[in-house]
Amino acid sequence: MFQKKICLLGPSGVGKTSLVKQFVEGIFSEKYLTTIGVKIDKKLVDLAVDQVQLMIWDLEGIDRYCGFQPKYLRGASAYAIVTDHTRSQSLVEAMEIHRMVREVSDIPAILIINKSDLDVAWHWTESELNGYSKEFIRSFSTSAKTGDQVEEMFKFIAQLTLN
Amino acid sequence: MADCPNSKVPSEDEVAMQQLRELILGKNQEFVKQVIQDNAREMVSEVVIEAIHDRQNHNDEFSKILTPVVQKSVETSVKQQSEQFVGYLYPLVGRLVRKSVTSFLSEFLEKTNVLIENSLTFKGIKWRFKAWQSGVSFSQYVASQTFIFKVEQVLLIHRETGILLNSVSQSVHESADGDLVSAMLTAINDFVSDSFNPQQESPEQNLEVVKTEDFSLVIKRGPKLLLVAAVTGNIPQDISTKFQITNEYIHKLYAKEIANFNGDTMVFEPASQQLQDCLVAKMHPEALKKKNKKPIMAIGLVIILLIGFGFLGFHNYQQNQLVDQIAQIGQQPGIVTRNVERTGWQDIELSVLRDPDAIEVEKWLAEQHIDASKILLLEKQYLSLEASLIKTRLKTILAKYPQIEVDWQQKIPVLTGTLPNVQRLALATKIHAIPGLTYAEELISGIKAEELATINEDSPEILMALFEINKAKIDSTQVEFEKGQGALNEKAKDQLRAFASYLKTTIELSKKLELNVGLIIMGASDSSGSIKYNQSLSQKRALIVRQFLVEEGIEAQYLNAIGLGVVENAASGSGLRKVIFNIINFKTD
Repeated sequence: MFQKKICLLGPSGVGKTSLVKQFVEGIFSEKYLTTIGVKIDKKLVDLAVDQVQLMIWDLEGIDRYCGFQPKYLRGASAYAIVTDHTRSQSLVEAMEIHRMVREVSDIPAILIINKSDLDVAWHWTESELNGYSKEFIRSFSTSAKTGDQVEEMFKFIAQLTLN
Repeated sequence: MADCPNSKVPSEDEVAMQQLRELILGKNQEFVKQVIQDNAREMVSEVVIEAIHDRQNHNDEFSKILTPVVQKSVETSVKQQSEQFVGYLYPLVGRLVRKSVTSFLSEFLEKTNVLIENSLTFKGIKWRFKAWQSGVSFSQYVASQTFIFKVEQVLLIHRETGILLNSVSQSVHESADGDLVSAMLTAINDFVSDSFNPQQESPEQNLEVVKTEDFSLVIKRGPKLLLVAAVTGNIPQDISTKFQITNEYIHKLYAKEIANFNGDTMVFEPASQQLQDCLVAKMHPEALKKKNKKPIMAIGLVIILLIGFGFLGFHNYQQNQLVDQIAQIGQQPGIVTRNVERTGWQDIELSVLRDPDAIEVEKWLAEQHIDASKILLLEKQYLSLEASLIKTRLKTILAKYPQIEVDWQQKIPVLTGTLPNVQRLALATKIHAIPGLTYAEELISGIKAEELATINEDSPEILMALFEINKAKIDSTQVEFEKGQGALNEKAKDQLRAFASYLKTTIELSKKLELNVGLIIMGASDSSGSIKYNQSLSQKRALIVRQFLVEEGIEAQYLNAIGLGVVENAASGSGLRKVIFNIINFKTD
């Protein structure tokens, strides 16, 4: 069994904590609680050949009030940038965070577009699609509320940490 | 390019060299090979150990090759010589088992003692109250009272990732989730070092101790690993140094594993040994004193329990013995045991069928020295046909006949002796009445009947019986007269002579019995002739019989003659020409 550290980053309120709660405990709450600093959870993921215990570092939402803390990324095997597809601004912020991370680390990254249960507010343009697909290994459209694609996404990350 | 053909066709020198080689080394170096082969054993034996060592150091292949061979050979040996293996292992296993049992017992005693001390003593109750008052768990309070300090848990954390590599703890159930604690601790440290860095140039700030009300986390930092100890109480400097040294030692020991760490924590399993050494504690001198004492409380409790169980067992054994003993009553003749069972702590219910002639249950119990007060007796009667009871009944009857001798030695008792006929008959009747007795006739045949004459010395009962028999004979005697005659014919005279002898005997008997008897001689006539004549004829007949009896020697005072006159006989219609008798016992009250 391997233990791997992964990080979830993204702007405030995109649903990072909810994704982890849905994955680890299988529950979703409409209540919004802002994360201070970092919240850590663990979950054992069964893969085809091996087991991985993910130590999921759910970092506080990064915005203009709260800067990015690169130390939290130390020793992580992969990270995920989370965005909210009902707020196009979140994508802009997410790409800024991604850029900041890339300055300190070159570990694999994936993009999560959360709240897929709600109405879509923006779409990739062709050029954006080409630009971002190079930046991320893969993107997922998830819903922390319904659980759609959440398990698949974390399993993918777990697999990614072993490569 | 010009050299090419030359390289294919050997030059003369080369051919000569080849020939020289073959001369010295032999064809295909066979001379050299031969020499090596001849000395192969010596050569290999000289270097074999070193070669294995080097190869093993180089990589693990030697072990891999050897392991299945060793496994196979051990398996074969065990299969073929299992007896010897058992022999080798037996003393070892025995010692192991003994050791483990001993340690289990001493641990059990220790734990029981602690439990009692903590629950039943004044101090224990006081501590419980104080723990409740200060809102901590009892065990924590006890620890704080008992130990100056105690290392509860030690965590080994990979510094960069915050992943827990190994952890050991004093108690399995109380340890916190090390994985999350480790990660959070790393995160907090990151937070602290980021937030409180006064100048960019100054070295990174790190946590060294995290202190709460109850415990402190002592963090010892190495280049790659953190060693974190959760400690209650105040930790002395030397222990703190010990943590640092342990961390350094682990760094040295696992340098390769740390460098190649990829999330696999299994390789750090053996570090438990070093971490265990950090789980130290120092007790209060008071508690220490107590620790050295023998677990008297527990030993006392165990002894009390043992005595209790022993007493219960002994009581149970005793009661069962008693039940068995009581059940023996079923072997007594005439007693059938229906049920014997324990009905309480001491009571026993005994249900039996008993023949009235059998031994009484209470008496039997007394003979066996059994306390009857603890026994609830349910008795029902029945008739037993057992031989011994039949004998008992026979004995009871024969006890009234002291003149009969009994020989009990035979299978069928033999009775000898003489009895007056009446008594013999009475005895016979009684013997026949004994249920289950099949040899009544044989018994009675041994008893001879006795003549009446020899009864003089008999008991009043027998005399009375004889008197009664004679009386009956007398009362039933009738003397016939010719028609119209008042004189006795010859037949009547003979009859009266025999009658006189009975009468004498009867009077004798009555004297012995002190009875006041008299004989009424009643004359009667038939209805032919006048009443007056018949009256005087009946009177005359009675008197003549009286006269005859006096002549036969009967004292006249016993004889009273009366004439009844005509006594009609409805059956014959002819009336009675007779004299009849009646012995009267004039009771002298």
